[in-house]
Amino acid sequence: MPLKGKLTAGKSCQITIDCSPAMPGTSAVAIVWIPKPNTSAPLPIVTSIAPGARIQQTVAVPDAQMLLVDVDLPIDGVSTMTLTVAQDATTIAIGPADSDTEWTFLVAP
Amino acid sequence: MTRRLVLLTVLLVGRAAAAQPTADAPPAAASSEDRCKAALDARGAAPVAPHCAALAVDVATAMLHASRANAGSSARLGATIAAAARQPRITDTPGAQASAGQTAAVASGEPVATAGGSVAAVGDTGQGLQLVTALAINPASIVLGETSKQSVWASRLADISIVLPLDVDSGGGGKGFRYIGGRFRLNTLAALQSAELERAVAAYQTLQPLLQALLPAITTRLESASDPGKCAAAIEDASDAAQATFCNGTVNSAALLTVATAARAALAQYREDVDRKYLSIEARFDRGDLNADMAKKDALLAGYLAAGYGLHPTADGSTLELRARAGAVYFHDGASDTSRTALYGAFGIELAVVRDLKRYSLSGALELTRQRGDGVMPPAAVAGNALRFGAAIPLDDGKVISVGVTVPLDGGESTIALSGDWSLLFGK
Repeated sequence: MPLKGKLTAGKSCQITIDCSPAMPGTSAVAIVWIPKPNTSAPLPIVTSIAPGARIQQTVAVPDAQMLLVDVDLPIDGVSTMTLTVAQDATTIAIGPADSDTEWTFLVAP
Repeated sequence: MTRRLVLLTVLLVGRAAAAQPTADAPPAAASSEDRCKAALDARGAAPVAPHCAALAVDVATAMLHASRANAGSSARLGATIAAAARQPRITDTPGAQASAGQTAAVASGEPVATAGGSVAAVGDTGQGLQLVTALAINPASIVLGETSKQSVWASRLADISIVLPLDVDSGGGGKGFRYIGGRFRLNTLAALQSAELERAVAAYQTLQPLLQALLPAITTRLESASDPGKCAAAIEDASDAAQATFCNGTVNSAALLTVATAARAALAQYREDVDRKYLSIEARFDRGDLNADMAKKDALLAGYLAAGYGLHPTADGSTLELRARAGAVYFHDGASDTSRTALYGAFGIELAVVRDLKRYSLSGALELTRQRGDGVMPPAAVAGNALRFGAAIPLDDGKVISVGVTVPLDGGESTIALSGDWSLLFGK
């Protein structure tokens, strides 16, 4: 997956993941900030998502270099989820994922 | 003259062609940002600024994606989820644990996802034929709802249930409800979260400093490259020779593959292990006529510790699970105003085959009871030393027919329970 867009540091962003109800198992997602050199970043967020469930994380964008959203799905041909990343009421990226994938964003002032 | 004209034409055409930028290689006179933007466009990435930093993130993304191809274990683990780590596991006779209606050889300590129930016909209990009805709910799951981000955690946390044994044919001792029971289960492993979660977080923490150092190094190489597109490809291919040619230097990204692969494997393992084990604290309270002496003032209190561990959560959807349960039972006889206690322990195995949302299982267990005090506890309190066998056959998603047989080791009649079980599932 190519670079999805840019997030502005210092503002909050909203990460939404909607899992299909038809999924037979749980999914897992890791939200990882890559800090700037010589700085520290927030702990990675790792969570599981039930079939048919939605998780919505509103997080402050740190002064970082990059955001990695890593998705782990059941490999069964029916599992699918929709990812949405928004900032300031603007959708930066939205799209489906039907297999393990990664979404990345540049973080800049 | 003609030769001079041809030579001049060739020179002019050649200069004009050299001045024309190609899609892959913008003019050398362009700034590094313009060259990186052209490379971003060519790669189909979002052309955000600063472009060379964005291109560096895109190169890192490509390398992270490529590491999936090498993550064979991650792919394998991903495949297992469809079979082994279902949405909250569908247990036999929801809510009927530690009652005559229990059909599993060792009752699971896993709570129901949101709600469940069972109706069991139990024969040869020593007190005639009973219909044992149980209804269980998971309060946290119901309150939070299945769309909450805590739904997976809540659906595995705790449940409460009510058990109503109805005497259908008591052999002359009367019919109807003689006592009422309550049950509570708390899965401490779900409450405390899992070690796999911590391992996944730690694995991604290892990835953070690696990318933290790698991104500026890639950005520097891309900024200095006359053709950032070719430099990006050289970095992604980890080709030192190509990097030397197109990047004016090299970036060492060898560790990224290993660390990213490990992080993905940890994430898949976390997802898979959500239902692999449980350690539950259980409580039981029964009140009424437990020993069929027509005195409705009997009471029973019990506490149990239940543990289960899946040995083989494999891609083919079969599991072999060890289960154990131990506890203490206190019984007060309302008619004689005397009390008795018993220690209880059970150990068993369950073999399950999972297909889609259906779980076929066979189980067997040894159940031991040591009673203290005068008199014998009624069968409704403890079954005594016994062998137990159970089988469950799913009919539909969340709907199961299960049968349990209890064979006393100290003599007496065997007991058979046939139960219809129902569990409310997420997304159904």
